[in-house]
Amino acid sequence: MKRNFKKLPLLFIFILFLVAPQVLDNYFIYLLNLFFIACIISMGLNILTGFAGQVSLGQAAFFGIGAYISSLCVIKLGLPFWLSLPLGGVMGAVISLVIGLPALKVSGYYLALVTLAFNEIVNLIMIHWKNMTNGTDGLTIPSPKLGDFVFSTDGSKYYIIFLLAFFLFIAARNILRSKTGRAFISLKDSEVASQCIGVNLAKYKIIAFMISAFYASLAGGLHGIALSYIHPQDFSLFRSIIFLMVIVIGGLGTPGGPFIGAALFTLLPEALGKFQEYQELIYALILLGSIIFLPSGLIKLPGRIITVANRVSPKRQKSMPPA
Amino acid sequence: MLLQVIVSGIIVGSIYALVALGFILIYKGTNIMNFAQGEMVMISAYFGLMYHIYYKMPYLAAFILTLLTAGICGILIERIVCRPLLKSPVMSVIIATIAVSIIIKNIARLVWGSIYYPFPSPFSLTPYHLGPIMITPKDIGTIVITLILLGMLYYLLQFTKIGAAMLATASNQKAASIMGISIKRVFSLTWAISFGLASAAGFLLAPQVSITPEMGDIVIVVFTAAVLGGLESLTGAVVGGVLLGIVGNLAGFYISTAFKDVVSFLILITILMFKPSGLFSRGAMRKA
Repeated sequence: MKRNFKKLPLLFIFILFLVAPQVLDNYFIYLLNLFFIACIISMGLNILTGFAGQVSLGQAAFFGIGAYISSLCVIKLGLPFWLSLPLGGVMGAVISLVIGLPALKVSGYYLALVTLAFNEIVNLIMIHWKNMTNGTDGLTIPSPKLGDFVFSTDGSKYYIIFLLAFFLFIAARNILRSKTGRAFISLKDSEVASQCIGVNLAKYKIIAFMISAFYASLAGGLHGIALSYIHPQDFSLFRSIIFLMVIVIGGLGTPGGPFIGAALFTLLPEALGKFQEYQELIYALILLGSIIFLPSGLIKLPGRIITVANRVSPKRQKSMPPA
Repeated sequence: MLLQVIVSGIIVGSIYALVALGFILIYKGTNIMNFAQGEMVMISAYFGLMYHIYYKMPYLAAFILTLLTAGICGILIERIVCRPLLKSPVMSVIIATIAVSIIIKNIARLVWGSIYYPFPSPFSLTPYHLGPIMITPKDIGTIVITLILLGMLYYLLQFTKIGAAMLATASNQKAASIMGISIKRVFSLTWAISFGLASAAGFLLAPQVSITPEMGDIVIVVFTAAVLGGLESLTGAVVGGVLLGIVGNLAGFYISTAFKDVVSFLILITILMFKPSGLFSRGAMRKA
């Protein structure tokens, strides 16, 4: 009985988002679509970087691999979207072995370099393999169909994206609560110690890479249908940096962090309006500021304010009982 | 033709070597992998442009002034960004230096725009013919300046007290500070020297390619050069830089220019996968 009550807030949020498109206007639905896509990537990356402690600067590559594979399956092979989307995800996970395997040998800075190089190679392939990816002209993507119904409006696409994001959120939560999730956390804390207690390092590192790549690739497929258009620039190294930034600013290794980061990432370009040319600069400044002053992320901001306030006002400190 | 491609590879490679050297200095000396090294090359080229063209300073004065400006930038970045992160995990440092590189790039974009600026070389461009090879005084100048800088660095590290302090700090920070070396000052100096090298590279690279805010993208080639040399050794960085210049030029000439970058990325991944300790070290080491 108690267990069921715990799930109530989650159910409430679910219903809230389910009815949201009925009341919001198109532009907000479009933003929500982007938000959920960002959430999916950050959830995957949070598992890899936040929990398993593996740095990745190649997440945009998987994002792109998912986007291109799932849309090329629809365009060139004529597969239905419902088949090509998971296909893109699975392919992304398989390709992640390419960087998952070197990750067994290297970590830290070296892993960052490997994933960075991987991202650049994938991006160059997207640009130069013209008869497949259409190069820098980009690729226009048809809307998914279910029977006679065409998901052409943002409102209808919203349901695909939101339901999948919600499902993936539950999945991520369950993974982190399972044996696998605890293995990830132990990996991050100490590789040596986790090996001593019998955690198979190689296995769990590769699982973490595959999960995060699967999430990013699915998000890529959704990105394709949400925008109806993909371009190699969407999957550049800069994007990978942004994804890493999303989870770091939100709060690395916290369950709620990715959502705060993703919201910031979706809203900031809109909030800037005509100051678009300053967008990268502002991103970078926020990033630098949060790394230096708020290393545990925005999610810890309220707690941090309280600590600072306590330090500043000696009155409150006096009234507190001695530790 | 092959010989010509190799020679021009060496010339580009010597510029890579300078940047890689600065990169290794910081990595070895302060345990920070500086992702902003390439942007420093780029912004220095703009500084050079500013001093040399706008303020009409003579080449040598502009060169020295650019070196000093870059050195000050290095000290500032070390002081503002890297010192607060000394005890932070690797990831914070990676992200912070990447953020710095984005900031520098965007400042350049906002100030100078995305226009190509040509940069004159003080040396003449009429080539000498040495058998099958053509070489311009500009190329010779590039190599000579590189060699002079390498010599100065070697002298600094081997024969001066400051150099000894830097080497001591690189090998053991705690022991060095017990011996009375001010670690903080050494760190500042390391960043200043490293950025000085990067700015010299920017000055030499600018006449070869036009100056754009995207010029800093050579940083990835520099990473590869540094990894090729083993990330620990200064000689390795120089050899790695020159080697990569040659390989990149060969790939660009015989396969396609688009393939030039792919080759350096592939080398980077392969080396990190199979021999993360670099080409020139004995025995594979596990790198963390």
